[in-house]
Amino acid sequence: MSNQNAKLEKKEVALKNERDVKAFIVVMVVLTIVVAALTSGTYNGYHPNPNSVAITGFLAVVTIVMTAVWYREKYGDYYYERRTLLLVFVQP
Amino acid sequence: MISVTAPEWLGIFIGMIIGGLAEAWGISNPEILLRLGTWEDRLFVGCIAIAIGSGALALYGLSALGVAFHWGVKPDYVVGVALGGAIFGTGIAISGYVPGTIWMALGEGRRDAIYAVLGGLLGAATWTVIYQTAFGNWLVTFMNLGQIYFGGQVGTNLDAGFLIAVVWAAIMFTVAYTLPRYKGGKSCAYVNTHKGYKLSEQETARYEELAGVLLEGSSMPLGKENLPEKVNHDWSVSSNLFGVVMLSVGVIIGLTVVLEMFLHQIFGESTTYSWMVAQLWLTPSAWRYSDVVVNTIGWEPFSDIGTLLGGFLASIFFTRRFQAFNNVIPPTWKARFGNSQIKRAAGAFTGAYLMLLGARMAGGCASGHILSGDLQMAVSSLEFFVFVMIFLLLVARLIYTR
Repeated sequence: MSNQNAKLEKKEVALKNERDVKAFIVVMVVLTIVVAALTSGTYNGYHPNPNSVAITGFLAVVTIVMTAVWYREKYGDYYYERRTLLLVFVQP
Repeated sequence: MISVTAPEWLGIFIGMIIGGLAEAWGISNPEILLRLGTWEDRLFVGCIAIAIGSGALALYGLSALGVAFHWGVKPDYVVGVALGGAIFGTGIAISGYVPGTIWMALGEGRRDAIYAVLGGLLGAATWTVIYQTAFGNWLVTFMNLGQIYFGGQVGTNLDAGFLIAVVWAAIMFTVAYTLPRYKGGKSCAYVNTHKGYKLSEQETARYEELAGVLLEGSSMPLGKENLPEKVNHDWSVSSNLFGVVMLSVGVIIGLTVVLEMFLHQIFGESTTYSWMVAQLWLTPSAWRYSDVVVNTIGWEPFSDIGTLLGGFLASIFFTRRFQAFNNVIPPTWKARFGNSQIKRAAGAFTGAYLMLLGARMAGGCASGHILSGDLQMAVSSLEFFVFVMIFLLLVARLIYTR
């Protein structure tokens, strides 16, 4: 049995400087954790404070959405396209 | 006896570790679980088996030495767990998600995860309503054997429990070692016992195809000769689960679950959906299940946020799979239902609805039952896993193998 792969080559896009967005992400994630710590304190029971969870989750979602906007802007709606592999099986 | 109960917010770090590592594995991509359903890629089974085996040894070894854990073993109400597992498996076959991977996928910027969250919330709400009825009460009380593990009642016979854990771990490692990851591929046992074994042309093509699946829709170029390229083209696609990286990830996840049980509670992901429903809609004052959930959930909402952040950070810094909510349809779904966004949204919503309904009915999901529970050697969790796999394989075969 043999196979034959037909590959559709895609255009390579060069990496750009992402230091600013990565710094933003790190700062926001640290901020999210600090907010969770400050709003829930040393409480170690089983009944979490919904306001603490809500503000923590909100910061996480805002970070993700803003990162998405940044990457879409930076790389002009870049989309990694999967190479299509056509596997052809030939009976001997 | 060494005993600790940590502050709730620390749960974020537990979620981040597991979410980040699982994203790097590729399990947040629904295609991986759809291929598990069609039995083409058994990554999930192999990785979870490694985590369960290593975690069980650590858990029962430390218990026998006098370390106290927050066990939280799931009770085995035989019919409810079986029915929940069947519905849960059906939901995975449709959506390609489990509750935890929805959060990871959302962190990865996957668009269909948004619909899955909404479907999940509706599924959790449905169980809150059913729980109030005579049928719901019957499901959780009929043939309820209580919190039992392979050694008896939870927290008893810990010395015998360790010996059983050794056997259980050996079984788990054997499964991971001998089950080939890919359909028609070679197992770790074969590769490691055949010196000079080289990947065939077909296997190389399969690796390349899967790397493309994992990266499809990414909003950021991969770059060359960097860590993300190695993660995507070598580690995540490898069939050798006993390679240094894949094995380490499985062991770390198992030990992280044990650490969580030491610090606060078992690792779970699906109760948070019921908790959100209780906060937003079906209030504890009127709904008994909501009352149970808000008083017992512990730090799970924080660990779920950690899972979201872990998937997000891994997709930016390690795998470069962040999709920025591009439209991506899993190939297995696309081959069956086409490229329609609406159909995929409906599938993610419906599948997640069934999955969360089943998870709440059974009292746990892939994290609470299959990872934490099977690591604890809980009888209910083994039963749940068996029913999930039967219905996942059956329904996926009915849907996709046409």
